[in-house]
Amino acid sequence: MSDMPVVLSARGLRKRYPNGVEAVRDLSFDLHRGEVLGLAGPNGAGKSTLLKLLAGLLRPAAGTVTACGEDVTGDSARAARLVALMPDPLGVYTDVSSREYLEFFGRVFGLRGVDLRRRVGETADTLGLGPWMDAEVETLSAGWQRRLALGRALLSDAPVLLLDEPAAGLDVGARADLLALVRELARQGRTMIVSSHILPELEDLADRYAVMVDGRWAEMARGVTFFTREELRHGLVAAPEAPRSLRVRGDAALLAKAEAALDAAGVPWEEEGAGLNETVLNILRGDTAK
Amino acid sequence: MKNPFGNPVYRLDLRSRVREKRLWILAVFFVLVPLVLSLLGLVEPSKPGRSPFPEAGQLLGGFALFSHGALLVLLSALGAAQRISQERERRTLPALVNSPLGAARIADGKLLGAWTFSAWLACLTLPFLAVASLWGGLSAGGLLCAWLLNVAAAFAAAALALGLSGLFGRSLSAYLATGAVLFLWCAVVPIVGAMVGGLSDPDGAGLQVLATLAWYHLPLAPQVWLFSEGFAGENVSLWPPAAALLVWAFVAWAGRALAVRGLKREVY
Repeated sequence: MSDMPVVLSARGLRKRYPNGVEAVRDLSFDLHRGEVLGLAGPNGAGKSTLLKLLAGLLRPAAGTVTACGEDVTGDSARAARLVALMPDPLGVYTDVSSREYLEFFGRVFGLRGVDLRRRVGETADTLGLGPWMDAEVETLSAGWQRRLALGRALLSDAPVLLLDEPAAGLDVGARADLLALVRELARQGRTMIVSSHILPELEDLADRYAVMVDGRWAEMARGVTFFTREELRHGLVAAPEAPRSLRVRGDAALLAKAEAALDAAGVPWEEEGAGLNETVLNILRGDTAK
Repeated sequence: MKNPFGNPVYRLDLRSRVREKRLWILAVFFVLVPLVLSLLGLVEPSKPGRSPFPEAGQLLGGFALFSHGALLVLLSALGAAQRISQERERRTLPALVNSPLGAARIADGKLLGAWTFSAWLACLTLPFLAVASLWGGLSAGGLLCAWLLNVAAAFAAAALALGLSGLFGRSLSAYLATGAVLFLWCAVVPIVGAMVGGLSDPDGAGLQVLATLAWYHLPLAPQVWLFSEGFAGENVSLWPPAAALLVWAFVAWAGRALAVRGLKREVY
């Protein structure tokens, strides 16, 4: 992914709310075209605040947000063409039909006439909303309302999608359907940040992962704040039967060194796929592998 | 210059209002108030040997203008008072603001929606004024002028309420603030004006300034002025309505500016 151009970049982002809570502390990262970043972390870690900062809904105390080379810091109208946010809670209008809702946002994004109808139809097909297009939004289940909110984000044609808890509050079936849809969007090359508490599903979805704790990137290994999917699955070396266990996470070179050292010492070891769930739990327990 | 009626926020607002099933209650209430008041007024026996129609026309016109005028200003303000705060309350604002429309276009769409609602309410008065004009007693032109002043006052009140709604995250707070500001405008300012007048006993230009500052801009003041002068065309001073229109235009501008400012606030 790193050979693709950077489409979203944050530098030194900080956000302090009027009540004094520092929700985001000096965050920086780059997101490359077609990349999906999985964002995990406990409640109150600052994930939603970060997404709102990236979408220009909040003004940072410090730092900048650049989308496709354009500074969109704290400017939601400018950011909107480049960064589409599916917020949590969704906040969909409930007193209109699904069609009216999508047509409204289609017009907001500058579509008119035949183009508008075509794009709304395509979006409805993509989301499987066809049978519900003339139903009032308030009569739709939570799962369909989430699809509708995703439809709004898709209509914007923004190169970056920010999905805040896209599967929150859904039953198992609806969650699987919605995540399949997000996976399909990822497969189509959409650049996305997906924030979720449902870690196993996030694990299947993203190319890269970051964990936020207390407004900062948590270290998954010493000095390492982002893991690729491969690193996440194969980055743990454990020796459960040994009197003292050793866990190593890091890049391939570090792992190879650790393996060689263990072999040389005659210590039995096995590779273990830690998974996002355990990684986040370890971070929260303060048990980050060194 | 973009067509303001093509504003998507305005069109969504219209659709939502048209679907509002209980609006007909408001319309019936709005029509019934002057009807009942006028019928009660007509119970008073007319003088023998004179046609009752000019008096009835005057009565109906007066009731329609002033009862509707007061209701129109009140309902227009209440109808606009939750338009932005409700977006915050329902959490629909992040999606709306994460759009290329910009705060000014969103505010304009909402203001136009509020004004359309006011205009719809105002049109319910027109049949009464038409009947009053047919019965005689008041000139059709004068009635129309007073009706237009009602509409202008309602537009100013709606814009002010919209601006206040941009400042609050809860609709109840927006309603209370709107009520408080209307009370300040329509009750406190004229009382203070009366007290100042009583203390300083102004005359000539001083009285004119005091009347302009304290009374002429009240939502029904220029209509009362026109009505009391009998809508007598060139003999009526146009300063009170002109002063009122100036103040209302300023209030509407300030309301819109407040709404834009409210929409530019951070969306938590």
